[in-house]
Amino acid sequence: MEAANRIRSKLTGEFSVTQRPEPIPGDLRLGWGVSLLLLVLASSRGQRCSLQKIHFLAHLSRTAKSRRQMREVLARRRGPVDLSVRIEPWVNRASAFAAASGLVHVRGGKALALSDEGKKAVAAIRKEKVLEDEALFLEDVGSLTTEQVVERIMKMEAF
Amino acid sequence: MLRIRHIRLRADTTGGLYGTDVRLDGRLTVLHAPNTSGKSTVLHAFLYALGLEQMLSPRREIPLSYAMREYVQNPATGVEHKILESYVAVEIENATGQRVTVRRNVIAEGDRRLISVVSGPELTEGPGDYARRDYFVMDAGGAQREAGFHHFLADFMGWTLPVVKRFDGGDCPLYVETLFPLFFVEQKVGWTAIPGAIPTQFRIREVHRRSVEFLMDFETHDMELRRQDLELRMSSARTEWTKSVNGIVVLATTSGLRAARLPVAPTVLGSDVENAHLEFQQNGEWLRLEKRIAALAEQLETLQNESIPEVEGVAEGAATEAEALSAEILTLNTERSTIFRERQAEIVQQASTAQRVAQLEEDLLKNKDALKLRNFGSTLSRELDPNHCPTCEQAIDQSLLPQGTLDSVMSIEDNIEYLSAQRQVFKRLADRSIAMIRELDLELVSTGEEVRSKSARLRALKSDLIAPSHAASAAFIEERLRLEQELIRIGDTKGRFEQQLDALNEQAGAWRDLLAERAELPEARLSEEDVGKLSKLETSIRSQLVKYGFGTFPAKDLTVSRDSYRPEKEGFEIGFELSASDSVRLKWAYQLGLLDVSHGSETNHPGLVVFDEPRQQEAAEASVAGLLSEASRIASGRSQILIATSEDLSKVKGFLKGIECQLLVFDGKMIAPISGDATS
Repeated sequence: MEAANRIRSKLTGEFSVTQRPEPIPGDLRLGWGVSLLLLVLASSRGQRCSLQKIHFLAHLSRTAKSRRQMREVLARRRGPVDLSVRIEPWVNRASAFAAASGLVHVRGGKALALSDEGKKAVAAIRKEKVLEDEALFLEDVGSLTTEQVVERIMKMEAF
Repeated sequence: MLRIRHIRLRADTTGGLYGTDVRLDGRLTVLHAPNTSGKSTVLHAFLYALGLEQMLSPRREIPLSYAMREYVQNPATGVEHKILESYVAVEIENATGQRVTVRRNVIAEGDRRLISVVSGPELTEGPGDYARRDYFVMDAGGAQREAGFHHFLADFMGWTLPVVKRFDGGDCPLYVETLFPLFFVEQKVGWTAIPGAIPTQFRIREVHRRSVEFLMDFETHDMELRRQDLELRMSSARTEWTKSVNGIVVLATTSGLRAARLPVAPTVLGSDVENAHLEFQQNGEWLRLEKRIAALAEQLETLQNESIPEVEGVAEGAATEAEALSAEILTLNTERSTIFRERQAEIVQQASTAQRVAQLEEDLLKNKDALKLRNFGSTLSRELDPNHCPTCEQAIDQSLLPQGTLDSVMSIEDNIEYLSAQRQVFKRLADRSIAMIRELDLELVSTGEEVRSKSARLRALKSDLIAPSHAASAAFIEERLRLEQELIRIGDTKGRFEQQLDALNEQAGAWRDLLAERAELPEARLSEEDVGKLSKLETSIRSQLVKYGFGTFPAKDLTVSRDSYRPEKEGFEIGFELSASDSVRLKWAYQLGLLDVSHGSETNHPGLVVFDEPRQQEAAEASVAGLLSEASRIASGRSQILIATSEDLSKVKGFLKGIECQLLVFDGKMIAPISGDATS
């Protein structure tokens, strides 16, 4: 105790504490989100799709569990009710960044399409096998998930 | 050993047969021909015939000039003739004097990856009744499979190619392409590096060191291989040990016992193994099984010595005992249900930990992907992962949260580290859960055993209470039978346990041998003999350098690194400080030095050195004279040295005065029309 008091008497200066930088989930990283957005677009017909479908697929391709569920719904082993669909704010932010960087074009405020730069980026992402599971899922599911299917699942209707 | 006896190039053209023949018989051969006459084509043809083109470039292309691939020019008329078919053939000889002729097509219908080997001196002595066999090159397994030409070549040269580690952790043979650059110095890339321009596309770890070690037959090479092999055997011994220990634990657990002081990691001490013993649980305490056996035996003996009482005599005691037993069974059952609940809770905990680990792994993967994306290079990483707003150029957080939500976002690298640390913690938790569940299982089994035996006793007591008064006491008989059976059961388990312990003891012996073997491996990387060879190399290089007029620093200051086998001065590798001419001189000296060492020492050097255009323009004339006289000296020890040069012929002749050698002079193009003789 005496020793502790002695040490304490030496510590007369002011303390300052720096906040530690905060960790964030990998899917909220800018590069990751933008890449996923590009992969969603690349998996769609004509490399373009509506904002609704982008939100739908981006959310579902994010985790292994949701990917499995979506596959089961498309194979009609589960009903659309089991699927959690969300409008993700981060998708909007990723879209804004991608549009500003010239990776995508905005079509009438409702849809996005890949630009030539975006196509190059997708090729690089696929070649380097980044976001491998997500890309694989989107390749399988993208062509089956038409705008109409998205619309019906969002309304929890059979498709 | 390898000797080149004859090199033949043939091209069938629209203007007739073209080609050249180079026959080598001297120990030192100087091949003289003017520039662009096809000297390098002839030497490259030798490499091509032996399927060694990957030594020159990782691309799988024919390393021969247009004169063997597209067209030749008639030296007299200047008319160009298209090549219809072409091939190269070489006759080589090995240490036992066996000669074979190797032929490979350049332009032809057949597969270029095929090399036909005729087992006889077809080029020097004409066609004969020799066996012929096709081998392949440039395919996976060319050095390993019997049908691979490099497998044949290594065999022919008396080489046993060692297995070496690759960067990806796999194994592969030390390919012959990585060895030839040490004695075959090719004009285009060969002069650039010491010990040699060794191809790296095979992704062999420390390939420069490994090839020199093999060529010089250093014992350290064997040592490294032995070390690797020992590591492997030790790790399999560890796995075996764990397997045995797990077997013992399972044996104990199924009998409601516990194996105590079992060495989990391999040990050499037999006493450590023998210290292991079985324990049983009594009133929450773990005691040695021997105690239980003694107690049971004693009880049994007492019972056996008594005569079987009648029910009348034991009824009173039976009633009290039955009551006490019922209470005990009740307590035990409550205890068991607590254990069971704990076990269930632990299982839930384990599942949630596993889920957490899975989530962390998923997130970790995402972060790693994000890191890869950021490091993509080019402008792509800036577009995918900008650190400034692409519109207003303000700095932004690297996240997709609303800007300004977090004071500062952790960097991806830190984030990865943070997640890895968390994952490690959760993995430890999962391990702990497994251990806990195993412990609880054991308790359930052992208390279950107790409940069962107590219930049996209770049943017997109850039957005594309702039996006629002169009947024999069932409880007494039951107790005796139970004790007997229990003793047999425990004895059986103990016997099996001891058997397995014996097996473990044997493994401890094997482990001791492995440790002893490891201790025997010398500490120093190089053996005395290896160091001897290196100092021989040093001496040879120094004496040669003096003769070549090496001037950057005194030749005696030069040493050869014990580690990288490259030349050093005062412990530093020699690099740019050398003048251009001195670095050529050093290269000559090093390559000839390797051959020089093989005289009198056991090495894998094939006793052959080839210099294509040894950059004589960069060195002084005196040096070239020195090179030729040194080459002749070294070649005289039963070696072959081939030097191709375009130096002025009269000068060359001057240098060669008094030197025993074969001088081959070609005036014009080496590939020239061939009159229709039988050598086609």
